[in-house]
Amino acid sequence: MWWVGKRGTGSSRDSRDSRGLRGLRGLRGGHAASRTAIAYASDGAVRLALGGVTQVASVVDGREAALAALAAGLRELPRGTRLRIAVGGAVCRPFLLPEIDGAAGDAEWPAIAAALVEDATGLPPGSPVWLDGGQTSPRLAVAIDAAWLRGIEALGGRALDSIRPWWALAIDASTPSPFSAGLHGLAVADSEMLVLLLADGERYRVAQTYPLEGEAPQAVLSRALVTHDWPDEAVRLIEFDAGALPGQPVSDPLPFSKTVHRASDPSSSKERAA
Amino acid sequence: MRALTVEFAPARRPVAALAIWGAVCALMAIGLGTAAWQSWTHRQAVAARAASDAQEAARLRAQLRERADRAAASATAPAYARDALAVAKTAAFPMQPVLRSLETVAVDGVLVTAIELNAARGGADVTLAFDDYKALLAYLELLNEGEPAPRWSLVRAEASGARRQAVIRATWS
Repeated sequence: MWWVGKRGTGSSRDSRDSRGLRGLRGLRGGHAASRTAIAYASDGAVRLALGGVTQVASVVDGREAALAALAAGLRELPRGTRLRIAVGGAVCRPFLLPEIDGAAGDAEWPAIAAALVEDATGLPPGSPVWLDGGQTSPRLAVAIDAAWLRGIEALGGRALDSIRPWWALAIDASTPSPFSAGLHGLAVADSEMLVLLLADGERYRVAQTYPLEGEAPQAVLSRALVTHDWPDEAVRLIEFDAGALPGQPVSDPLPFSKTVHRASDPSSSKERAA
Repeated sequence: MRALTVEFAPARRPVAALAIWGAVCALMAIGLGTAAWQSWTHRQAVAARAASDAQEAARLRAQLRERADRAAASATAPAYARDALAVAKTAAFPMQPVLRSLETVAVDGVLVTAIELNAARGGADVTLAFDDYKALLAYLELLNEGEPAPRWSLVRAEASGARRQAVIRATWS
């Protein structure tokens, strides 16, 4: 595990680290009680931004290290700072529930979703599940790792405003989309995972997570689209900015992301072709 | 693509709203408690006053009863009471029905010779002269006819030679 940011010690990163510290010290001296910090946490990376500036950018290995890095960053925040946390696809994964004959009532779907979490997402059984009410067939569910959730809640405490998957923020940031009609999709590559969401109009048809394992997100996406026999022209790829450094401004509208590539952009198509 | 409102953060407890609500509840509890205490005190006072009034009323009733008993014990019948009673009985005596029943009954061989009305006793004694007993009994039967109970009765009948005399009595009280 290596650290980038205010806790880093490498000589090549000293100047960046000092920028992060300066930004944080400046915030601590001011009246920042109503400010909101945005964090990203996953098994491989931790980010923390305040006031539109990245404060912590760490590469970590595993949940414990990530929570420790996040806790260290949160300790430096001004008192009263609210906290919104986005988690990666390794922590929070979407999946579609199959159509089940006889599952009539809404009260049965949470139990069905809970039973399917392990097989559908690979997350441990007992992971909390959020059920989407926007479509009934197939139903979309989102599961989050229970240990991660407990750890984040313990860290955030009363300052915690939100715990959402980063890929859900990517959906928000990408709407309104020119591909909202017909077959379209969104691929969100975060620090470890590629979350693929394919939809027909307003109805999600595919919600799946693929481990990147050091591979280029575009390659993983291309294979996944072939698997699903889905046209890649209307699939948008949003990538996590793995190289962000403390002191850098946070990208807008999706924090910690690279510049958004659109499949329909000629320049993007060229890049992808290359 | 349709946005997803997925959220895993625990619902925040509205501390300020809860505090305000708690304060409002506390104030309401204090107000209600005070009102209840005042009502209880007032009720106790009213109950005590009612008990006192009831005791006073009982005392007055006992006093009145004692006076009434004392007055009844010391009361003596006035001197005119007996005469008044007689007058009342006389006034209440049905003189007309007695006379009318005698007037409406006539039997051959029976002759009324004297009528003695005794209002104080509520009766009348009629002296008759009769020829034979059969006519006398027929006369009595006619007098009692229509009465729910025989009102007239034979008191005395005697015969001395050719003269026969009887006394019949009516009771009206």
